[in-house]
Amino acid sequence: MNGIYIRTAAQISAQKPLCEDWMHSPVPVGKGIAPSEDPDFRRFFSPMEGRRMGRLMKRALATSLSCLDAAGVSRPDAIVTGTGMGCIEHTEAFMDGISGRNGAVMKPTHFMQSTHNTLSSLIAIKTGSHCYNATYSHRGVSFESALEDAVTQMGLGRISNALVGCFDEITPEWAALFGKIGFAGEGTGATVSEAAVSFFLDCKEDGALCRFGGMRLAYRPSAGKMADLTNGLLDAEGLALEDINAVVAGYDGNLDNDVFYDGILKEICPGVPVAMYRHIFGESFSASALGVYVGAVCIRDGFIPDFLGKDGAGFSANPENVLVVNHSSGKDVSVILLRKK
Amino acid sequence: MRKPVYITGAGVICACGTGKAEVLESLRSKRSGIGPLRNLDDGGLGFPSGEVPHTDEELKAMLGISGQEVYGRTALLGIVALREALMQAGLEDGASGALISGTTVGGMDVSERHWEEMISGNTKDSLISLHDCGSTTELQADYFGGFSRITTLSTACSSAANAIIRGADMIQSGETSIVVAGGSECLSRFHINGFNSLMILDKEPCRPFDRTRAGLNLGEGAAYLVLESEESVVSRGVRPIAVLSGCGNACDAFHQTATSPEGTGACLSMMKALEDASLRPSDISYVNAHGTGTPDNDASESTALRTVFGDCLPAVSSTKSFTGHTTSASGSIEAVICLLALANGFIPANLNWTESDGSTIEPSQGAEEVHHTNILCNSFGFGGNDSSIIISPCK
Repeated sequence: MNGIYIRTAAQISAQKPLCEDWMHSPVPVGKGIAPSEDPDFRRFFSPMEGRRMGRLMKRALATSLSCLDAAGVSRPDAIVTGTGMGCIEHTEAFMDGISGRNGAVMKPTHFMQSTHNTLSSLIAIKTGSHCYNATYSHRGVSFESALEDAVTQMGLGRISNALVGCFDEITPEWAALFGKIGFAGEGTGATVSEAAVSFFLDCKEDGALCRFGGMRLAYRPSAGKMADLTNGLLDAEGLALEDINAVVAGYDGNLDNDVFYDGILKEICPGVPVAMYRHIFGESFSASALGVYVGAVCIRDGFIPDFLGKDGAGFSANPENVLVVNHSSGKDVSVILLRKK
Repeated sequence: MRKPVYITGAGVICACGTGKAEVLESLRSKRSGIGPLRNLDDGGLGFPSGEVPHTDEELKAMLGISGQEVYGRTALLGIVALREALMQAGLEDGASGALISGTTVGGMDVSERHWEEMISGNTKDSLISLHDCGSTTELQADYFGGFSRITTLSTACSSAANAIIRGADMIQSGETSIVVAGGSECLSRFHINGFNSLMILDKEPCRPFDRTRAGLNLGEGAAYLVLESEESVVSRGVRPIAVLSGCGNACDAFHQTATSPEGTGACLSMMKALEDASLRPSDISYVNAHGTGTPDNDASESTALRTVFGDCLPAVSSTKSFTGHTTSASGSIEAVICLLALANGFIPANLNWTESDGSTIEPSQGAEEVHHTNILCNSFGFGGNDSSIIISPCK
């Protein structure tokens, strides 16, 4: 099999959308809610088309079309996306309609747009793609589930490229609920946010952001299991731990979350400089897609900004090998390897 | 060359039975599970439904879960089906395999019951954490304790079929040697109202492919298949019950909820599955149709079936007349029905059918003493997420 490359990537988040301005001038985020900054959507669809779409649908379409445009592809071989919560704005609206809260009424559009696969199917409808189409909804590793599906199919030679993404939005109601259960937002130490991130993967090295070097996923790994999996991942690429320039991890300021990273990183890559990103992008079920995005952009641009360094960690120039580590409630754990070549 | 994917266990729960034996008995005696709701309060809508005839408390008692513990109904149904599947395969705790589950409702039955309290900030934390799809899969996995990989597919009514397809890919790529795949979905006020808002629910028992069909009846349930690689089957010394010989996933790319009149996505998913299995249309002895009973689905699926099969259309039936449309679970529930048809040499009836209106195929009224070659099972979802799988006897 040829290598798999991340050809293009695009994000809409708390940082400036559809660009990498955050690399030089990150927008500071507070400790409560950090909503996404939306781009001008008219570049992607007419106001008429957009009128019936929820916010998350617009964002998913914009990051997807950005990636396809930049790759010069009109129809991908597969569309695989993730979302932890789906279009919660419309789910809530329909829920309110059923209970009649605040005089709300049930609207069929809200129901149609409350199923998680409405995002993948919207991308297919917009691009006229009859190809493989799937949606994963598995908490904080929804993105990894989607990515791994695409990678498997590329490995089996069934497809030669794929559009992969992950999308989540927040509402004031869910922000409060997330705070209450200690996930993110008010009183947790982490900023609750939104994210729409897309990637176009293919098998051509030229002009790609980076190469995808492999991934490992585990559920409730026993002690030592993640180290074994990571060693296997590095071995398969002929790498040793010393070859890893940085590990991009999902520290978000919530001690209950961060303590898991302390444990995992100590087990799998002790001594490797740690880069954080959720202090500028916030926390959501789609955040791990931003981790891969950050890692890929840093490899392409040849540097890791100092403000990402955890505990004052500094990074060598021209990172060649980066691990992206994520967990969801300490249960699902993922390790992804990104390489310059 | 495609590596074989063996099916070594199957479990099911739906309106017409808890476990394969009960479902088989209902299918052969043509006894539908569709009727008035008894457990769920749908706010007086009164649509006939394929409700599993056990309360949450009864399901918990069956599973030895204490009444105090909070479980969504989707998870409870899922655990019942998983337990049967794992037992048949001789893998009581999941044996470090992967669990790929399809659901859309997830724990929404819990959050909709407590919505007012949730929004006003007066609910228990444990209820909030149950809302999303992934939490349901976690609950199911944790009941058994041995799964080393889990994830959740959510492609509306084709979720379970896509979970099975993903499972087959994981076996073929060598990522893992055992995958338990399928789906679970409970009835909820949310989606009963949702389907009602789209005006596709029938006030009468559904009549798939019939001239008078006027919509679907929702149902609930769960089913899982244990998928295994050849190496695993040999090393464990187990006897497979069938082979998952082909899979196809395609997108209609037509509309968020409606299907294209020509059934483009349906056509493509069936053709991809046939190609994947290296089979010709004439090699199929039975098609378990998606056949929801809505005027549009049945017409467009019929068009697709005619396009794919031409002159050699095999027996076709929709078993949603027995189970109701079990949405995210339908793909795996119907896959188990196909396994039962294969093992017992019969074709399940398409209940409540009298005559076609020309736009639809004429479904089977049921047949016994059938020698099956290969069975194709269709699952189509909102957003045009269309999937087909093919189940074949072991050589």
